[in-house]
Order: sequence, then structure tokens, then C-alpha cells
Amino acid sequence: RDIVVRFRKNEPERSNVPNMTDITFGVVGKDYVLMASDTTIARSIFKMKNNQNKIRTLDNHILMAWNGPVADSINFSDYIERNLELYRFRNHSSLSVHAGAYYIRNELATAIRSRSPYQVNILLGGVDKNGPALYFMDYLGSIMKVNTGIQGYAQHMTYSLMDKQWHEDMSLEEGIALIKDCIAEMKKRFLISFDDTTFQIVDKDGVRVLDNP
Amino acid sequence: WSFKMALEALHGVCRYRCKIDEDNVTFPQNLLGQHNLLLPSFPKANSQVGDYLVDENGRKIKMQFAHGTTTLGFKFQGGTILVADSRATSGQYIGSGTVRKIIPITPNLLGTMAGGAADCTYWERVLAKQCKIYQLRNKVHISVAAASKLLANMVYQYKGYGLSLGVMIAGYDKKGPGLYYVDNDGTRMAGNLFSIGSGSIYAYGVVDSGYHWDMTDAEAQDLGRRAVYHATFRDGASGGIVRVYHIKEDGWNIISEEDC
Repeated sequence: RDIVVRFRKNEPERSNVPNMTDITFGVVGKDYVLMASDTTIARSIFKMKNNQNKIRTLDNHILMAWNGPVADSINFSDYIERNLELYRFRNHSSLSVHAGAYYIRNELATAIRSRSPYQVNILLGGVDKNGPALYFMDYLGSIMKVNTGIQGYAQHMTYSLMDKQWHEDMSLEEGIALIKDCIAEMKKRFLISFDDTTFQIVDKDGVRVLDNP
Repeated sequence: WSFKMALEALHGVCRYRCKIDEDNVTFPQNLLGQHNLLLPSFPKANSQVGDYLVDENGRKIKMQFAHGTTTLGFKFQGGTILVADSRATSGQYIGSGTVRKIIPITPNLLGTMAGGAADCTYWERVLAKQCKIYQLRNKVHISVAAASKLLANMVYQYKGYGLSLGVMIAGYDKKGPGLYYVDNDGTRMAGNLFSIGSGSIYAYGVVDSGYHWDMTDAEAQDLGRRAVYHATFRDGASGGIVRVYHIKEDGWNIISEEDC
């Protein structure tokens, strides 16, 4: 019957600009992808929540870290998660990481020139029969397969560090040390403080949270 | 009631239509379906609603939405506490000192009001209807997570249209005390402690320093009341009566409503 048309151009709402202050890292290792993100949700100058998990598990073998306003990010993540599950139910097998990444990119790219763009930046990591893979995606619909992925203001401070320290076939300890160095750099130089970070890893056995990395 | 409506329909009496102009029937259909709100007939509805009002000299009146309030909610071992002030301002004028900013949704759920009063009361009332329907269909009380998700999804449909809501949905369900923050952007966050409104900055200071999970009921109620009282002192847009509500397993209760 009546469909609400969402017309969201020229939004002046200050809390809905692409949020660069989320910190997310992703690293491809020997047979795993390690991702870490901060856990703070801010509202103007306040920390409203400091135990938010910004890394979603899709389909038990893909990690999707989101950056951006909570509303769009959560709605988009829910939408993607459910569509991937639907694919699995219909086709009796999961999408590969590459296919999943391009599906998500397609959704972002369709949305950007539509009435309601999603303001979400994504880091997608997964391990399948082709090995570990990490994809960097933008809210505009750009996609890059990368070895080290960073989102937000953290890019300014830690790209060089990642470039220096990353090498092929890193072991888990080396991967954790690399991300910890990046986090230490952020704590030293980034104006906005953050307390906790959450580490999640995906390897051939699936997804798990690292409690004490 | 439904018999009367059926009789009316039989005789062609349609109570909810206004037959001003039969060719151009544009009326808010929110009596028939609460999501069928009229869209504003101009673009950029979110930012320019106030620009279309003019005074007698033709100058534009900037519509002043009342955002001044202090609401506070937190969970602890004994349930959920919600505290709010009761002042409504429009510009520099205090419209009312006895506003009820904590709105019952079901006997187990409460919602707060911050931002636009009309938006909050309307959408929380729609939420109350949805919660009641859920309860009738499923024979269990709706969970706090589900109720807040319903509200967040409803509001997300109108994202960018200028709704102004900063509400907390608080209750007690089988997972224990529940507290969610829901925003007009469609943000929905679970948490142990939230404060919303212009006076929230002052309330945070007091409640953060005294909060811990193992408080007794009396300590928690006192902490909440004090936090909002201090906020009403410093914030000009907050004041009036401080109302304290406590939600436990068997429902919510008003603890006190005092002019602090």
C-alpha cells in the first residue's frame, strides 16, 4: 500500500557522517586472517558505549568489521548476514570469501547512488579453499584485496608501520604483535582515546575471539 | 466497537475520512495504519521544516524544537532504574514543569522521552500497540531487545525526515534487566548506563562516580535521583519534578516524584 520513500540527500545530521574515528585493523597471515577493532561508540564528545563488538561473523567463516554510524552499520550488517544465510539455505553451500566480498560491494555500490546510501566502510576477512583473504571496502563501493587493511583515521598513522612489518606467511604471534604495535601507535598519537580492543581470528576451523592476545 | 464499525461500513459511513476535496484526498492515515504518515510536500524535509513558518511581517520563524531534558537510565543487580526531569521549554519560555517524560509501554517496559515530545509519544504509543499485539499472539511478554528493535526499525524508515527521538527502552525480561538506547537515526545500543538530553552531561558526572552493579535498591534510586537533580541545577532546560521509576521482574513502579 503506502510505501515510505526515504529521501536522504543533504543530511545535515552531524552524527551521520562517515565515522573516521573507529579503529579497525586486519592482517593476513600464513593461514588465518586476524582482525582487531576498538569497542567505543561515541556521540558528539561522549563515549556512549565501550563494549561494542564491531566485527561481525558472517556464515561462520567470514569476519566483517564495520566502520561508520551505528544505525547504518548494524542495519547493513544484519541485511548482509541474513542474505548470506539465505544463499546457504537455498544452495546448500556458503559463498566463498571472494564471492561474498563482491556481493557486499555490489550492495554498497547500488546503495551509493540510490535514495538511501549506506555510510559503512568494511573490512572483510575470511579463509576458504583459496587460502586467507582480506578485502577493504568503502561506502562508495570500492574494493581492494589487501594483505593489511586499516579503516578510519588509523590509516594515517599506521599504514607505514604495517608496510614495514608485514611479510608473507606471518605466524599468529607475529600477526598479533603487528596489530598490537599499531594499537600502541594509535594510543600514543591519536587524539581520541579508546580503552578496549577486540581481536578476532578466522582460520580453516572457523571464527573465534582471542581473549588474551 | 468492531460491531459498530461494521455497521457503519455497511451503511457507507466512513468515520475517518474528511471529505473536503474528493479529488485530492490527502489526509494522514495514521488512524488506519500507524506507519502511513503523510510525507512533507517539500524536499529537504529534515532540515527545513522550520523555515516554512513566517510571522506577520513575513520573516521566517525558526521553529524551536524542545530538546532540553535530562533522562537517565541504568541497570543494576536489582533491576533497571529510570529517572527523568519534567520541564518542557520552547526557546526561553518554560512551557510546563510537570511533563511525564517516562512513558509506559507495557507493564514490564518503560520508554523515556527526549528530543521531540510529539515524536517520542507517538512512536512509543505505536510501539506499545505492537508490543501488546506480540503478547496476544505469542502469549509471552515481549523482550526488551525485541521491543527496542521494533522501535529502531520503525524510526529507521523515517531516517532523514526530521524525526527527533532520543529514547531509552528499559524493562525486565527473562534475561534480566534490559536497557537500550534508540535514536532517530536508527541507532540502537544495549548498555548498562545511559543519560540523554541537554542535562545528560551533568548527570553523567554524578552517576558515573557512584555507579556499581551491586548497589542496593535504595542506593540506586538515590543515585539516580541525585544525578538528575544535579543536572537540573546546572542545565537551564531541565527542571521541575524528578521522577524515579524502578523496573523489577514483576513490572515497573513509581518510586518517587519530588520537586528536588
